[in-house]
Amino acid sequence: MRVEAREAAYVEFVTARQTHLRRLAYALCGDWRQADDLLQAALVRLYVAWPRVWRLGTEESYARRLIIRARLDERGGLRRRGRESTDEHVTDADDRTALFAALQSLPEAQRKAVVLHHWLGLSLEEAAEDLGIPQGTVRGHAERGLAVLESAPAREER
Amino acid sequence: MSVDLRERLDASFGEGPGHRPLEDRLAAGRNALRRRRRLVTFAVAFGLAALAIAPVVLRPATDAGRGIIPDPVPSPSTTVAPGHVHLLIAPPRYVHADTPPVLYLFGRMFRRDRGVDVLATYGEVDVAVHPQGGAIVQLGSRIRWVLVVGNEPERLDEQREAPYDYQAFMEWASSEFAVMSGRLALAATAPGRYAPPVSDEDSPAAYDGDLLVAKPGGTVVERIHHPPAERSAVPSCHDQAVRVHTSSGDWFVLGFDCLTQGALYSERAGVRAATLSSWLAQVQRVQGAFESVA
Repeated sequence: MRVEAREAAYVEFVTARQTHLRRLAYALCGDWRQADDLLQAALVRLYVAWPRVWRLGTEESYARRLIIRARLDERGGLRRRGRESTDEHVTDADDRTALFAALQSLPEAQRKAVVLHHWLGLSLEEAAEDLGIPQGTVRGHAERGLAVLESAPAREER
Repeated sequence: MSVDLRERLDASFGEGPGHRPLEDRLAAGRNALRRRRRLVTFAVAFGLAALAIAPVVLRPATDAGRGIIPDPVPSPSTTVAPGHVHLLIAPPRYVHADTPPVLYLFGRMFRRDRGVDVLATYGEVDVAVHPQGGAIVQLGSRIRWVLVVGNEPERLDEQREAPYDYQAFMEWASSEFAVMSGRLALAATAPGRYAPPVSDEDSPAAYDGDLLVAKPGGTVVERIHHPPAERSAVPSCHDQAVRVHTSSGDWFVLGFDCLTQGALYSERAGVRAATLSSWLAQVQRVQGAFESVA
């Protein structure tokens, strides 16, 4: 694959999907700067693996798995990698609701299962493959997480 | 799955600040690709040089799978006050220098000695055939998480220093047990006297990015992408099997790399099979059988 073609396809994918992928990261960690760091780390690995994943048509799931399988630190955020990610910064408090706060209150495994299964709408089988754990474990995490979310206020304003 | 909940989740937060310039993304990717190519080139050159000037001796797998993982810890958010669990002390003849703080004998969990204060356990009930479980223990002022699969002496354990957090401990355990069982299945079913599984450090292969490559001194002579495997032990992310030729003989290595979790299953060629494909078939069978017992 020629460099120009590789980069054109990569740029097209990043342009189209970076907002969605960063929202996914934010749903997991609750911090825009850390979400941006995670997205950047995932996109770097995606670039390295691009010829193979692009040929297989798996670029979306590959990037999603890199994000979803990142380990979260003690405060629920992502482990920091490298430099500060962006000069712009939206305060998290401006951008979240009671439901989102409830999502962030979940243990990491439950949060990931809820995000994949209940937000992205992946099947339990797909979620299990993304997380690298058995389907039954995903089902348990998703059910427990859902119970917490259902107790969050139903009406909310952003 | 409720569409309403999906929509509520989707609307529960915005899109965040502006993105980095695309050129930054590209530059970071190009740098990473250059670093990877340099690494591969260096590894190949170093390996050829080592083969040319001296025989390479692989370290024996005496400490396989028994290292303490220095990696820190998941969220302590759901910690409950630790209690104290009474476990019998193991008979001294079963305790050796590498014995973990808790161990299984005949399907029952014991503590190693009086210096082990057990704060919580998981799976300590009798499971004589294939026990697996763990404990959060206190050793002096330090808290340690311990997972154990298998009765002594056919045991594999993982340990890490971490604060008391039972839920985080359980989440760690659920992700580790499949790999530990997969490793132990391989070691326990190998012909001859039991030897602990070969650790990733002692394996002649390692992941370089998405590719399983030979360590310096070795050469990959056969590779299978997405090999047949027991998926509980070998998730399908960058899963590969290779045959590695070294000066001390050939090895089969089956591995996966899921960013936050990965493992290598390594065995010398000829121990149970002569070809990589037949070795994979046997590994899949024994790991599947082990999982079904668990």
